[in-house]
Amino acid sequence: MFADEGAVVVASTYTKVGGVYDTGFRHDPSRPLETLADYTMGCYTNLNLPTRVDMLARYVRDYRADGFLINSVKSCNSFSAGQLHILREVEKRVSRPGGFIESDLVDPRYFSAANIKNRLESYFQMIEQKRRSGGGA
Amino acid sequence: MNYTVGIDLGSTTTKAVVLGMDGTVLGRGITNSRSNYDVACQIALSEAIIHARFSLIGDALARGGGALSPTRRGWGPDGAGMKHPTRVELVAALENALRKQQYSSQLHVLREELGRLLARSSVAGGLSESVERILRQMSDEVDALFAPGTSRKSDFFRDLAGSRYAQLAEEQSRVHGVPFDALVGLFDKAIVDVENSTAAAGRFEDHAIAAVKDVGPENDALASAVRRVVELKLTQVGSVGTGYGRQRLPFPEGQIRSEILCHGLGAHAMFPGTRTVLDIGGQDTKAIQVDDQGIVTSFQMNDRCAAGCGRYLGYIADEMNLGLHELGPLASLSVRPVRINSTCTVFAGAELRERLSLGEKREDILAGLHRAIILRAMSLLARSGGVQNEFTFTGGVAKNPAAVRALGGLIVENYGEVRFNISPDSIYTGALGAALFALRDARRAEAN
Repeated sequence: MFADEGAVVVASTYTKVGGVYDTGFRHDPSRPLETLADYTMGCYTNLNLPTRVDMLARYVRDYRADGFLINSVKSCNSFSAGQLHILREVEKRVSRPGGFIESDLVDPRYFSAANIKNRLESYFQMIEQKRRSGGGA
Repeated sequence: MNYTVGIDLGSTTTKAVVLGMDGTVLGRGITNSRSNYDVACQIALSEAIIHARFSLIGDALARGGGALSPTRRGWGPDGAGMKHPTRVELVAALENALRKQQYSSQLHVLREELGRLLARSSVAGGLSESVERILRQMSDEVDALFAPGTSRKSDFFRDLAGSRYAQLAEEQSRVHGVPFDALVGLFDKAIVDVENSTAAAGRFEDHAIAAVKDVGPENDALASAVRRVVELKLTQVGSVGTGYGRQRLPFPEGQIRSEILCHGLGAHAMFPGTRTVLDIGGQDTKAIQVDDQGIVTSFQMNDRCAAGCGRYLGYIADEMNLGLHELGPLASLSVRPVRINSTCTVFAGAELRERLSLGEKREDILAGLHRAIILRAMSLLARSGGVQNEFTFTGGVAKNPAAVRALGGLIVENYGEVRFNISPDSIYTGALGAALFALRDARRAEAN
């Protein structure tokens, strides 16, 4: 669906659910289990909302992204709680539009390919339209 | 004359809007989406072209001759921009006469299809005779159905012919003992072929000439205007498709736009001050924020569950044995709305029966249901960024007075006074936006 609209993902917080290296954390080979514990305890879903917002805003700026997408996962509250607040706050800080899709990782009842395709297409076309009108994305 | 067209292929109806190269709305057409999307698009477009030709006839009559060109008119009810009541009446009568011709033509195709099915049918017992009696009576009633001043419940042949056929089939069954199911089953099969034939409604050219004879054969100006418009070649120079079924549109990929963008631009074209748009359609609800150019800045829509959308009201209407258009007025009679928590379409019937069994009045239940739908829409509006001034409500549900009243109250309660726009033609918002995108693309191509 991304490729159809010529979109590329340049960064993601989902890859940070195991832990975060971005802020300088490194494992200490002399204390492997302790630092592994520190690493996993500092994972994305253990971060508070302001830190999550900082991280997302930094990614958008660092990678010069045209926008950012949030996927609300019905059965994962630790990931999904506060996402609409995060969306608005990041939009405000980076002046880039955020998109929102809803689905689930395991429960097919919450997944509709047509609905997600519709939202993604609308979102990518919105970015394209803003770009064409000279307003920047 | 060149034109661009926007087609909005919705889950319930397919709409087309035709624009002149200066952005003038030339015509619009609507048909039910049926199972064949290609045919739905062709018929909506052909209806829009017919409407465009009628607009041009009206304009030609207004000018009393000269070159055929559309009068610049705003988006509004039929006849906007036409000042002369006699002329408006004349064009309306002409259109009515043409609709009659189309109906007769489709009835003729229905007769052929039924004949074909009857030849293969193994059901005996006077089936053919009953079908013949039904069709004869329907043919005899055409003049009355399209008599001046008569209002019809629908403009779609399936609805008009279907409801009358069912009534007459019931009568045949009662009087002659012919199985009702067999009679209606035949119609259900035949109507699919009638609907999926783009030729069934006949050609505008043939019908228009016949319609002039019906309406005012002595009116030379009318005859001349019709002749000139019939001879006028309309050339499509751009098209954009949108809507729920847009992936199935017979358009190249580059000519397909998201319905969110089209609704945003269409609402902006209808009401230039629009900043927030709410569209409640058959399958989904969309809350859209637009800037002063009609460009979408943010949007939210319902997830895969169609709770609280137009279909939900459709199920409720079916459960109550009411027409969809009757729900709003009935709900408006309520003085003590019931509090409803679920807008689940699957459980709509169960929710309704539970309330009825508790002794609640139908109008109070309906008022509660409308409020529940609107509360769901309010949540989407909040998620999209709230309600800004001006606010435009579009989609089929915007025609429902109870929904409009509930929405108006909740908006004032949550966001204060804002200008609240509803166009009587709100159903065409997406198609209008698509047509405007097509026009921009065509102008860009011309410039290059």
